[in-house]
Amino acid sequence: MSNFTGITATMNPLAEMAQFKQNMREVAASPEWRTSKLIERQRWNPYSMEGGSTAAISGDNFAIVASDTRMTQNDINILTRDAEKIHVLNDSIILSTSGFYGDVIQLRKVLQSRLHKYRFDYRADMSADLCAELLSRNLYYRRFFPYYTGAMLAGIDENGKGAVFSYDPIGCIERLGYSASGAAEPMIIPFLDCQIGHVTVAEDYEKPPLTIERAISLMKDAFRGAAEREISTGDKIHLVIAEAGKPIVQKFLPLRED
Amino acid sequence: MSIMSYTGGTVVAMAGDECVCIASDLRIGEQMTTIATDEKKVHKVSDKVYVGLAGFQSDAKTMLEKILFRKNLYELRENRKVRPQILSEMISNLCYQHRFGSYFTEPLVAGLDDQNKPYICCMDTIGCVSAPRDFVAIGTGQEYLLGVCENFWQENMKPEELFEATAQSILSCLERDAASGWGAVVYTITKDKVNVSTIKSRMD
Amino acid sequence: MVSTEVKNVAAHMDMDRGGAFDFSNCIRNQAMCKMGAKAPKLTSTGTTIVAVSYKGGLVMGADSRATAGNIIADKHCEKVHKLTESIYACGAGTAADLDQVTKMLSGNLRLLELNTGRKARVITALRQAKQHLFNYQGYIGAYLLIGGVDPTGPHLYMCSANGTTMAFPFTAQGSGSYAAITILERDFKVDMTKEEAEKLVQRALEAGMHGDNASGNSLNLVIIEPKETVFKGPIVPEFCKRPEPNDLVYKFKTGATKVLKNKTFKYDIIESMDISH
Repeated sequence: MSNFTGITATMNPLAEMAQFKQNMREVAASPEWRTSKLIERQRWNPYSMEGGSTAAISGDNFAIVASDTRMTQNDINILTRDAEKIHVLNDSIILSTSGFYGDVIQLRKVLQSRLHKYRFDYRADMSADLCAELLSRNLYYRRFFPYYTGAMLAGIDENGKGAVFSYDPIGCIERLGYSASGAAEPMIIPFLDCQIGHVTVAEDYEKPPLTIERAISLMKDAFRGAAEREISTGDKIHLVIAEAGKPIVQKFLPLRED
Repeated sequence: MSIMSYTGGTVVAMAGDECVCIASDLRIGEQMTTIATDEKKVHKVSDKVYVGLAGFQSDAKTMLEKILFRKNLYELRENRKVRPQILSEMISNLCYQHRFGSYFTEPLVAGLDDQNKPYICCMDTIGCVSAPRDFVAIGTGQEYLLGVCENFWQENMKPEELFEATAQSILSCLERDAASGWGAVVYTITKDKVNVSTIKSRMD
Repeated sequence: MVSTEVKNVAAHMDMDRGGAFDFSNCIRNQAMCKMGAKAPKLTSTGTTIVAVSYKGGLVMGADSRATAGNIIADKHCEKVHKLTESIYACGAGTAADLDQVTKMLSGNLRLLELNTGRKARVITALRQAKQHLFNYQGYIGAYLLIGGVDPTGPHLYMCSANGTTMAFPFTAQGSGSYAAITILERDFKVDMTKEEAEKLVQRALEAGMHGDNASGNSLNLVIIEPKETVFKGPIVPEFCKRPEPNDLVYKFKTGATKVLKNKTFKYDIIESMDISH
């Protein structure tokens, strides 16, 4: 997320104005177009962004995670049309990711090996709550060279309720009812706010309860809407449904391919 | 930070069956600080033609004066009311004149023409017109709006439905856009009247 | 009387500066940039445009997506611009520049045709475009494919934003050109029929729209022949359609939004424009 910093981090207004006038004089004396354009050297960047988006909804006894399956390079070129951005870690934990795919793979490997070790040590699968905390710590561990991912962890928690945990790249963790991350996050989130959070409608207006069917439909429609307007989202919806006491179901649905 | 989100602000317009809706938030800020909470970004140009100006509000004010000047001159010279199509062309040319050294404002035109056909369009800062038949959005909340409008817009909506769809879209956007907020106002333009509604929204 | 006064005022205010650019904000904007403000995103047509010549004619085509950053600003923008009856231009680059440059070209060419009483030639359109663009040293971001048929036969030219021009039998431009050109290189033949050329252009465009994020939605074609010019579009390829409709209908009943204040303004109805009595 871009933050509101920048324009000469508010000094006193008079000094700011004086600075602005000084700049006006300097620019008038040698305009940008008169000095030959500097070639901006591309510095090596350890990160890249592969686009795409994911979203998750949790309910009483279910959690739904969805993502598109497009992977892009430089926002323009399509690398693959069936990239896996949702990783089912065990019977109750689903990791969904966006951002730098290299880090995504590394992060998944780390989590998988930790989960494997947990099972070896305790003879039981890790629960979603524990894994959520583990992921947070693993992300913060890399505080100064972070995994560049917008991760979300969803699943069924120890009480049999649906859970969605949302993270920033350095491990700030939050348990939410619904969340989205990736390129189309700004398009999906307000839609879910309106349809699941019901924060925009009048108090006395009807608010349909969030059943698993409704959640699935909302999720599909959110991605269909996003694919219409966001260039790096498309190809397929990867839908993963976890319901308490049932095995995880995975589905693929078509999206537009252009 | 981009100059376009310095003051913040969002405008959206939707087209329906012989009606259009145009809505804006009411906040003006100086980056993170809110300066005023009663600044409409939608302006009346003529009975059935409204413009929205998002982006840097100092430039928006200047731009509005230039637009009104041109529109008055047009109406005097041609002796007829300005149509939204004509107005958008005028604004587009005005913006493009400032191609190098532009005004940091994105104009949006919404209105009914003389046949009461709805017309909506939005532009970038240098006057590239995009005039779809469904909805347009500009300002800091553009991305948020496009996502929800895509699902909320339907063919041939009547004024009441159109009002609800537009209001819900901008409310959803204000939920997540930090640079817009402090209430919203919705103009519903129909063939015989304009309805101006101030709607309840989160005040932050 | 009044109208002459208005005209004088208009002339005095020098409203349009003869249609030329106004640089009065330049210094201010650059100073603002120095203060740390970033320039706004412009709408660009990250495009696929394709043109192919065949025996006695020319087929040109473009997709219809305009993007601003990673969002689609316009799903159905018109990138095949008509310059004259038999000269068309497809554009990639900054959308506003393309609209205005092609508008200027079509105006100038029409004036030329009226003044000379003959049809304008493609090379004239090209020369006008390149001189205008060269003047602005590439700052006007218009990358054009100019093509058409004139008495000297079918011609196809590419004109870059800095004024470089080249002639081609077939070519593609824009961000989707890599995908499109592969199809053209493989399947282009000299002296194709009209149908073959049209199919080839459509296939090249579809490749561009499919493989490139910034192209898509629908395509427009124009087939230019000495006798007639046919415009086809918008054509929506199968992969550009929504594969499934929405599950739910999001209709809000009246009362969904809480209205705090409501005012209605009725228009003044003027029965007649006659104000003499």
